[in-house]
Amino acid sequence: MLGEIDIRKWIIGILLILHIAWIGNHMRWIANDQINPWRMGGYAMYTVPSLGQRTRVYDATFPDAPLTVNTLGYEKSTRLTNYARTFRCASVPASALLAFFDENHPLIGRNLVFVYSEREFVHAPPAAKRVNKGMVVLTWQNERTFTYTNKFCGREEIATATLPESLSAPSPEVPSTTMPDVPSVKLP
Amino acid sequence: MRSWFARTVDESSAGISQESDNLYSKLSKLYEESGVRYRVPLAIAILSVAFQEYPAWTTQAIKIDVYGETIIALLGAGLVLSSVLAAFASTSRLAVAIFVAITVIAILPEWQVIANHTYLALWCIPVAILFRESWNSDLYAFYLRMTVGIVMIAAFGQKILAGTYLDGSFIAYLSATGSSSERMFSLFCDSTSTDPCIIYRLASWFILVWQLVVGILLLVGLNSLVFLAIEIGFLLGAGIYADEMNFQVLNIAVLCIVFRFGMPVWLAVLSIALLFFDRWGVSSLIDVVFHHVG
Repeated sequence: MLGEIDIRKWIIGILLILHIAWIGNHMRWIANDQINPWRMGGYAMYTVPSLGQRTRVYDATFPDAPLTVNTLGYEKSTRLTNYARTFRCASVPASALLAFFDENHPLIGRNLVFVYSEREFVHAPPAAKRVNKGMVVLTWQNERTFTYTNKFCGREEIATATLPESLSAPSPEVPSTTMPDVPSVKLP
Repeated sequence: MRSWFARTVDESSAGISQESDNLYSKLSKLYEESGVRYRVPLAIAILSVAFQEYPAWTTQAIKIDVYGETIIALLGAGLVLSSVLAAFASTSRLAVAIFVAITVIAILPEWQVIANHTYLALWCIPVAILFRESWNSDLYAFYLRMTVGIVMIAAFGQKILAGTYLDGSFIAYLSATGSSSERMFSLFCDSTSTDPCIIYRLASWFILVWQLVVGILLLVGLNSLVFLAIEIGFLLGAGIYADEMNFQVLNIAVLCIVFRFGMPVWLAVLSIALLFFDRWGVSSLIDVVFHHVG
């Protein structure tokens, strides 16, 4: 019985130490702008406005308005690793882009730019403004292979991915629809 | 005829009233003597997670895609069942086991985006499984006390690091753009001023001091029911301001375990009522009132 009680005390002690360590790490991430302050325990929620993270996809050739796209598969592919871009500086993986094309066949073969924006707090006068926090520039090398450049938090990572056999390029005559309420963005 | 009718109604009402009083006293006595009072806080804590998570699950396309609507309904029902079982001595540990199982299946996979409320619940509730009678355990109460104290100080620390409370800028921002309840302080300030007014600063400083003091007092082990009562009052006030009663109910339930106070019937009923009310929201009530007054 005594041993059992001691084990419980050890477990409790370890959990408390883990929690303190977790909070210390959370503070480090927040201080370095690595994560959404409202996530991972929310210790920093209500310190800045909710980020309202948003992803827009643009045709690199016609960047005046975002494309209407399906994102369920794209978001599902990041569910276990970087759901809703909790890690703000993390690169978008190839698996997410492949999932994106899996549910947006008409966009295969079109050079795209994924733009990620957040609301940023301004102290004086207190307000929130939407700013672009990063992007992925995707360029097709041939009908199955594309190169994509992740640009987040001052870093650039270039990689290449290839569509699986099950995905193929559509006919070129597929028009894109637009979302009129969103202002155009300047792409680099 | 009229007096007979009036007397009959009066006697009948008095009889029903007396029967209700008797039933209430019997139930209250049973509630106290059976020890349910001391297990209900854990049940309410689990129920608050059900109220937090299930409505969100039903509106998340990814969740529905991964689990399907039937499984989601079963998981929600499982949380409610876990809550009910937690109130009884013989099934309280089973209740925590069910809670842990549902957590592993439906909550932990999305650990990055789950609500702050649920995070706190995950630090608090599963540990109860270590104890045959968690409601009687000093060690469990100690663990919860430390956990809530650490979280309060962490929240204080993050507000200091953010720098948006010392100058009152975040409360000023909420007062200008927040929900109806979050704009309550704007009545006292000039809306055309670009600087946070003194009321916003005082409110910000109060929040900082409150979180720091409560955190320290919990860590040093202050065990006063007056402290508990004041803290519950502050939590309810914060819940009204932020229009988030659900999180406050979880905190109140945990504190009732921390202080080994249990939950009197009225507080349990109030907590459950607040969980339902939270689905609607304080701001909605204020909007309705202003709409009718206007």
